[in-house]
Amino acid sequence: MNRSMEAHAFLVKKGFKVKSYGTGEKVKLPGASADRPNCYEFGVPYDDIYNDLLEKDKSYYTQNGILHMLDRNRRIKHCPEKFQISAERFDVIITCEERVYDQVIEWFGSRRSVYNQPVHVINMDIQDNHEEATIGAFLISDMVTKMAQSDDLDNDIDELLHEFEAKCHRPILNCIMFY
Amino acid sequence: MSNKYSQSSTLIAAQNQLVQWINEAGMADSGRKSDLLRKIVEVLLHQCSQMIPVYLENILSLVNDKSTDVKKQVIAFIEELSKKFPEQLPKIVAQLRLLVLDTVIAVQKRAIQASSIVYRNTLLWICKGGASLTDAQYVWENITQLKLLVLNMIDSDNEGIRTHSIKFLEEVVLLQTPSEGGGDEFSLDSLPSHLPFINRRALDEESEHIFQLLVKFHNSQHISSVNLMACMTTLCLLAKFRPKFMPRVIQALADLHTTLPPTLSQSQVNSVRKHLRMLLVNLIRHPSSNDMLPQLTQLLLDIGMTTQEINKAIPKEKRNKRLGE
Repeated sequence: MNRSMEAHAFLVKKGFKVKSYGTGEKVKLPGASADRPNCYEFGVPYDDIYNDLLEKDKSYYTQNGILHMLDRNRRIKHCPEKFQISAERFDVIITCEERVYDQVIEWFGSRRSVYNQPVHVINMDIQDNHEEATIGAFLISDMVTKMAQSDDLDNDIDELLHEFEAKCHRPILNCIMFY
Repeated sequence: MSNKYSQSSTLIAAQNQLVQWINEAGMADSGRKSDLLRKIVEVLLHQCSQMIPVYLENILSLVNDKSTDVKKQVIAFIEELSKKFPEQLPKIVAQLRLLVLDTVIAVQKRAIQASSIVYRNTLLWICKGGASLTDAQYVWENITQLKLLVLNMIDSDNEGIRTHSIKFLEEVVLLQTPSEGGGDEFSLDSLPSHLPFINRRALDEESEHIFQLLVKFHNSQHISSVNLMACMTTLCLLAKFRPKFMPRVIQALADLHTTLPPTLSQSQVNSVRKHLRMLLVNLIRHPSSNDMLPQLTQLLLDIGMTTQEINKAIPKEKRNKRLGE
């Protein structure tokens, strides 16, 4: 909701066709304490989540930036979406955390491909805070721009990611899966 | 009666629209032509399918278009046609063969992708038995030649072509091997034995040869990390659905674990190891691996999983069975 949406907003501005998803069971946001997160179902509008937290504790959720983040998100799209139930097919999937990358490849690995259409799944670790999300969005945009410039991504991806990794000094995981 | 009248007037309107779009596409630039073609195909397949024989040639002639997008649209049309209207296969199969050899890599890849679907649909169509022997034989010969073309593409200089070939060959092996567990899945057993041009034994032998080729490719030292992972996924899928391959697949993965290609960077090694772990966990969960549980468990221990993690991955009923033994 933070890192992926920051990158989503950034990529849309650059003219890319992009969507963002969560992979967990529920949408989780920090709550009053670490063991009591605020949980919502996928599909609940950002507006509703925003109003719920506003009502719960306006100053706390303003101070920790959650309301600001939700406000940004609701300008981008209606509600959080779950990756595993999406019917869309993508050329590239980017995850910002290894755990999410695992969930994505596990999902592809547990089902049979129907269209035999390849998709590159790439992970770049980004810490879940506002500053890192901003830096991460820049880096993702940079990487995606390089991909878009390639005439033949399937042929160039190994080299492209290798070079990008050396430049951004962050370890990258990647694989190819099939829809 | 009014309903019938309104249906026929909708059909006439759709036909008029089709004619207009087809004429317009003839003069349009690449982008516009591609958009128009998308609409033409949509209407033709879903609203006026009875007009397919009339306009088929118009669409197929676009395989010679300059635009990559237009050619890819034609391939999508061929793919869809093979599924919904397989009686058209004799008219489209040769075109697909040409597209697999196109000069544009993106077109070639899309054609190989479609080929695995068209191959499956061809077999289903032959099994249904509605086609004339001449038509069935003609399609069969073309699809066999297409298969040989793609088979050789596993050695292509282009990584993407290789990736697509792996996926195509996966489908060929699945379709051309007997299903050991029965079920509704299409397999070699579903093919009729009376047709003079189909030799089930030869097809089975061919699938064995292709499987060996995939294992060889998987174990080659200069494979890219992406294609290695594509190949690993393919081998595991084959092991799941055709358990006779399971021991050789586990051996191939064990060999890979001990000797990864030397050309891989550290991150690529990490990606491959992660992929291996995911695939092995998927395999151990699958019922087809029951007989190979000790080997799989050992391999998972070798790649660094703890006994606890492995036990968690094994389904309960399998674990109980193992304890019972």
